Amino acid sequence: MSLRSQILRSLCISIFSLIMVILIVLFPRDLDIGMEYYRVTAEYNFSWGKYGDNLKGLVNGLLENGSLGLNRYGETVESAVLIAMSKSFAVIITALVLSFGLGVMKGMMDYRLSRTRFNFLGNWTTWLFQSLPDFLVLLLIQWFVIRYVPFIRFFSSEGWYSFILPSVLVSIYPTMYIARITSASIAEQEGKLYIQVAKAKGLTQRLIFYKHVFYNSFGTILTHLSSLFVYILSNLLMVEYFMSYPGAAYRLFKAIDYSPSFGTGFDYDPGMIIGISFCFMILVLIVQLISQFSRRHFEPR
Amino acid sequence: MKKCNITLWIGGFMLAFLVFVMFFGPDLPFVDKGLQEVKHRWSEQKKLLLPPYEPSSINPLGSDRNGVDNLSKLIVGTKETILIVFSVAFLRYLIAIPLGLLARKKKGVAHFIVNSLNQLFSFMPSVFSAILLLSIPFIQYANNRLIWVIFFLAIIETGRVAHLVQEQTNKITREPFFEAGVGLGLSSWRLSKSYYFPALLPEIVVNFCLDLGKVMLLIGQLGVLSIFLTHDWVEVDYYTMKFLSTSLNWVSLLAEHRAEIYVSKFSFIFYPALAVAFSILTFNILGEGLRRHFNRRMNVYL
Repeated sequence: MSLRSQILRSLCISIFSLIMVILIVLFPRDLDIGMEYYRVTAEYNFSWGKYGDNLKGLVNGLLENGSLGLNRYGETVESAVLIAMSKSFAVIITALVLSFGLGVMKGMMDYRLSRTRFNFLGNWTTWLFQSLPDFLVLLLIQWFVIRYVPFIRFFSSEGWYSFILPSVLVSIYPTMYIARITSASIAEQEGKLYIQVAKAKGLTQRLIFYKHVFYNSFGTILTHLSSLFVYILSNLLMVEYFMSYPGAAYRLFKAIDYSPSFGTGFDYDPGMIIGISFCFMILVLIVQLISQFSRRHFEPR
Repeated sequence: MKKCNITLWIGGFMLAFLVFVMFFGPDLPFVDKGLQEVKHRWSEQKKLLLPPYEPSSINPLGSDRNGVDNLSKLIVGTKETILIVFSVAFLRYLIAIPLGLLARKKKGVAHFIVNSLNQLFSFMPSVFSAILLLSIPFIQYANNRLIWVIFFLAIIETGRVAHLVQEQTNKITREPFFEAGVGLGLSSWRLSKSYYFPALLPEIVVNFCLDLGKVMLLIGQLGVLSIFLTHDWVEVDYYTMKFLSTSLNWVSLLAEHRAEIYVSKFSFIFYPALAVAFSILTFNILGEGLRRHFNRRMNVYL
């Protein structure tokens, strides 16, 4: 498949997914809350009319005002989305770079160690960290920071450096994911003919590894870039939730307004959800493009 | 030299432990099966103690606000949690395998369904999709909510699994042994039964184990966000309704105790999280062990 048609395909698919998300988001969620003697009752009646009105409202707003409307605080959705995204953007990018770099390094180390008796330090630690649920790791770190290193302000989002701690926390799990893929794809190259040729030429072990083995497996690692990104997004929600960091993922969760009293609360913000998912999708698309372009570079065949 | 597959053994032992706790845990002597509420207790110095009790020999992990032993809660909840996880993963594969098999030629309706399901849910992290879908009121207030929850959690990643099955079957179709089967003029049922399935099974079993871990993680995350899998809508105060969890699975325990960390009480919340971690680790190790077991002929040195 040529690069252009590949890009076109991802674009079509993402538009389709966005439409599906909009359809799910605009599914009517209003409850009829009433009183019956001394009881509160809630009833839910689905009607196609309401669904249609919701969809019409969105399209009208977009066409006439070029806007997704107002959110629950009376701000325009666009500005609120931009504020939340700008907070998260720094975290996402830092985490992406950090987890990719560290992950590849850890993967190489895992592979090196897998032949020695220190194997338990390599693949096994990767494994253990990948199996630990993110919320447990966060709980432990939170507990440790609050109890023993109180000068780190865990819940603060002030100062330019506030994105550093969440980025580090977000990148733990993705790092292990990339490490595992790196080590597996390097191991896959083992015993291939081109390595024997290179050995026969008398190249050093180091040169063979970096110039041949690693270069070849890098293409495989890059295919996983977009799933790495999705992992980062899902971790982002947990980290922002635990740290009360006012970023996009937390704002998205807030916009769904899951309330323990009525399920979906009255502050359900469909515009915010659509806006933030749109931004996330664009980011995913960009990462996919980067992965496709760079794969082309590393895997010319 | 035949090398012992230590990963599989460890995974097997951990699974055996989980199954033991699931079925016989509630009958162990130190577990309070009925989860009785102990509203007060006298200490040795004849002092009145009120719940929540500190960890002691009677309550190894302490108790909750009603005086119910935490360890017992955790153990009694094991069965339900594992069963929910298992049924989500099972339903997912039940839908995904036929879908993937139907889509093996990479064209037609089945291919379209697999592709769109896979793409739709791979753009958003599954937690987001799960929250969005589970908060729809008609699921929220449904009488058989658990069934809906299991269904939707299964659907979210069905596309990914179906895609995997599709890729694998497509690969098998191009193998010489399969072409021989086609050449013999076997029926498609016979081909599926004796050609596809045996070749697919190892991959499916391994991935099923890993998926169990993924489902566990997902419902754990939902629990942290206070989204219960089964709940009742009850009046907790004058005209104040609230969803209260009706079951004792670990997820509900996580949700109940989460608020405690804001008041710096890191006590009980760790244990359900640890239980979740233990089960994820079990499934992952088991999956890896099975992978090594199935690959034993190919890579002797693994």
